[in-house]
Amino acid sequence: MTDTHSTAPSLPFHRGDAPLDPPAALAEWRAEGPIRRVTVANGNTAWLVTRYDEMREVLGDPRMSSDVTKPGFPSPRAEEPKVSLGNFTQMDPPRYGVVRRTLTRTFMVKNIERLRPRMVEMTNDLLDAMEKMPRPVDLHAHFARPLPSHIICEVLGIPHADRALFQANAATIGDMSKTEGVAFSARTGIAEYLVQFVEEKDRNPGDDMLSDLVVNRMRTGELSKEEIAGMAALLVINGHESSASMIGLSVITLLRHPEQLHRFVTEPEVVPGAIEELLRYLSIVHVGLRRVATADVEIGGVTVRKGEGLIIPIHSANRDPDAFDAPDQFDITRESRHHMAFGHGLHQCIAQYMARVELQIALPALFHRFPDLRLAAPLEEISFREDNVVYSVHGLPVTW
Amino acid sequence: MKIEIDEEKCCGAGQCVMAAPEVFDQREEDGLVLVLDAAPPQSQYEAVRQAAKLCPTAVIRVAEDD
Repeated sequence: MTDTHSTAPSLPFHRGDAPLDPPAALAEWRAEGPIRRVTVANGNTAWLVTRYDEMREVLGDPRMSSDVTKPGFPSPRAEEPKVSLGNFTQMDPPRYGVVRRTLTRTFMVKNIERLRPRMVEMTNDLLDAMEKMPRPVDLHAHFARPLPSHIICEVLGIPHADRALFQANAATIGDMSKTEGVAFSARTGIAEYLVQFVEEKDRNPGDDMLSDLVVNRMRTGELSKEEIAGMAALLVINGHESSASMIGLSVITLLRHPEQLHRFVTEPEVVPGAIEELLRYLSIVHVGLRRVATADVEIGGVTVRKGEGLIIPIHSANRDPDAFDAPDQFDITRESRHHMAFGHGLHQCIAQYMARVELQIALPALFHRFPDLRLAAPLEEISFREDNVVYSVHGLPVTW
Repeated sequence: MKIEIDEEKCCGAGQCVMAAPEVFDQREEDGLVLVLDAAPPQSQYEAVRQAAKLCPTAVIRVAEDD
């Protein structure tokens, strides 16, 4: 599939007047069939998988590659993708497994649980600061963005001091209106900055992720200093963007459902299930996961040829009526644990438990601190970030 | 019910621990799956089935009772 003038439509990003729902075309296409052709950024065609079951199949299939340098890989940007060292989201086995397993200990459930008290403290510190600010306050700038940033910096063992650099670069990396070169520089900028901390941990190891990698992986020759910095950069970037987006969009969603918000605030036992429903309903990674087939593979009744690209829009999977009853309704009491907000298959989000706990702490704490919390502008005036890999708000003015 | 594990495929996502914490844990040294009870009591069956379904790399095989 090297035709350069495909007539197939592109994956839509614009949401019109329904900012919390995936673009309407995705539901239409899902109803028409499980897989169809779309045009990707460089003008070539790729397959768009439209349904939950087939998306799970593709993401669980070892014949599907995440290697962006393979011919046919459907990149979200038009230019040739540049690979940055340590970016394990773009690796295939066996190297992928080796690199991922150097991080699984850090993010395992019980280690994140050990961090919970610190996460509560960091949340309360930000709420204390917010309480003293003149209203309206931009919740995105003063709570949703800094909290995940503080948490991931603490996990890695790096200072919060330079979070402005992280925030600016993280937003640039996902910005699809920026060229691959600009995004690449932003990513390597963070990695180059982090090298000094890898060196520092080598001199004075502490009880944090970078020290663990330095002592157990770098000194043994398994990972290089630059690879560790690249892996850390990836975690900083993703740790910033996705949870920040989820906090802001969750606040909007809960405020639009006051009865469910009341239960969320007064019945702590509904919180974990409600977070799963928010993850399902909002599914913020809205450009689709991307793969290229390394063999001919049958998907949804068509043969995807070796070298053809696939786009897997997980936000659409999470609104598939065959997987969730009345999927467009937000319902914190439904069973939504099988959502694909964190992906599926061997690349499923390594920091998913950390993200869950962040949301389980941040959202109830925010509504307990400000029981009258409300948007300080009508929803139509909120600016939503549609042109980024991670869907989000640009700002969120609130008052109480 | 009997639980079998294909540890080679484990990616340490932690889904099994979240779904069935009395049956699954993660090893302290590398965060990979650790089966606490390979023949769990009936009260755990639903949670174990959920864990098997959620596992992103299909590591957990559940042999149901006849």
